Amino acid sequence: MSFAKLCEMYGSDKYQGHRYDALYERILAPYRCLPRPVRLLEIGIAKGASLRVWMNYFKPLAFVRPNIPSIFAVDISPESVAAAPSGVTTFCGDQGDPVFLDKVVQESGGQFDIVIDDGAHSMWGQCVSFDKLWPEVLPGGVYVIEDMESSMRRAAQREAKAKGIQVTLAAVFAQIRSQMKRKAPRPPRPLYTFCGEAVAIEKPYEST
Amino acid sequence: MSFAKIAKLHNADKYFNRHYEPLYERILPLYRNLTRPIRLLEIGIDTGASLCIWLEYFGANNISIFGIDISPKAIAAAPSEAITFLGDQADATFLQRVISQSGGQFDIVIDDGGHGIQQQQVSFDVLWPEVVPGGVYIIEDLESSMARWGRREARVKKLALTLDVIFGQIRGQMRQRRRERFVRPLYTFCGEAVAIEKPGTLAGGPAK
Repeated sequence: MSFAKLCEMYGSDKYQGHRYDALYERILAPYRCLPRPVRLLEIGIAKGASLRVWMNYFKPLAFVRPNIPSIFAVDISPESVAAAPSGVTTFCGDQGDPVFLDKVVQESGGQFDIVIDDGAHSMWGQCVSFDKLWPEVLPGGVYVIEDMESSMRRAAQREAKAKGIQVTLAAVFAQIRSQMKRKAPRPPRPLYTFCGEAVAIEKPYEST
Repeated sequence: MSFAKIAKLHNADKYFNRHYEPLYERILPLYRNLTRPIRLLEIGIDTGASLCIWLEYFGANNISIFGIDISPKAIAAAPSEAITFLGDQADATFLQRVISQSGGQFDIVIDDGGHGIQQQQVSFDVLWPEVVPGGVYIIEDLESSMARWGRREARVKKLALTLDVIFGQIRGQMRQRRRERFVRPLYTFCGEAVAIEKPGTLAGGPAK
């Protein structure tokens, strides 16, 4: 079933609300036919709708070895953690806390194909999560940050200023700029795909 | 044959220094098996190598290929299958003539021309409306926006840097209201290049 249909079925706002379908169809399709269960971590569970989408989107492969956990989720609220569908390994904690994220990486084994940050959408949380989890993305894997329009809100700009960091969108743009400054011979560089409020960053196979 | 192999055979700079291979490997397959010939316009012919790549990649019978260059030498170097136009990509009147003589309606437009700020922006403004729904507009070598000569040109001609124009577009997408969200281009950055895909279904192609 297509990503858009699954979103409607389980009530995820990734299709009707945000129209991220073009992005996810493009990025995730290759992972539907892996010869092993796909390793996915999502930050932000809410009611568990998107986790249900993932479990069904990648379903045929999850049956290959049903006992090996491969879908992981993080949320700050115990209620949300309880709402996650069974079969998902959950962690309750703050995505802006590096010590907690270290524990998540250690307990889950890291090495993710896909990481999705659909958490609190705060500047600090997005930055800390990216710094901690990007090294855990496998070569060829992808890191998605959703709802970056938060970077343009006044509250976010205040938060960034108070904590002495850049807003997330500016940080991503700065990354793209720095990729352009590489002198030849150039190493393979990540692909950045923007779709509305989200960006997907794909790690090249031979990363530097 | 894959894009990388064909590019290597033709000594094209798209492959050497591993410039944009991941980008083209991502974008081009979407246009490869259409039920009709695709229409491709490239600005910047130079040695004609990249036009030869497109001919080989899509098959000479499956592509109508158009090339623009400012130098008569480059026009002479173009393969005979290509329809060429001699002129300046920063000249809107010339570009209008290209559109009316070629028929417009391009599936793929590639700006690998002079990389000047004004050149890139005039070409984009005139040619983007001629990209079909589901089509793609690629701008190469955006690092000119960061080079000293690019910044000087922008200052003298009172233009924004091309990269900032694109980042501004992405920000604009993020500000879209919910009911406007069905139209969102995908922006894919790879090193110094960006591919901007027009929303919509490509005529004669597999559903996107």
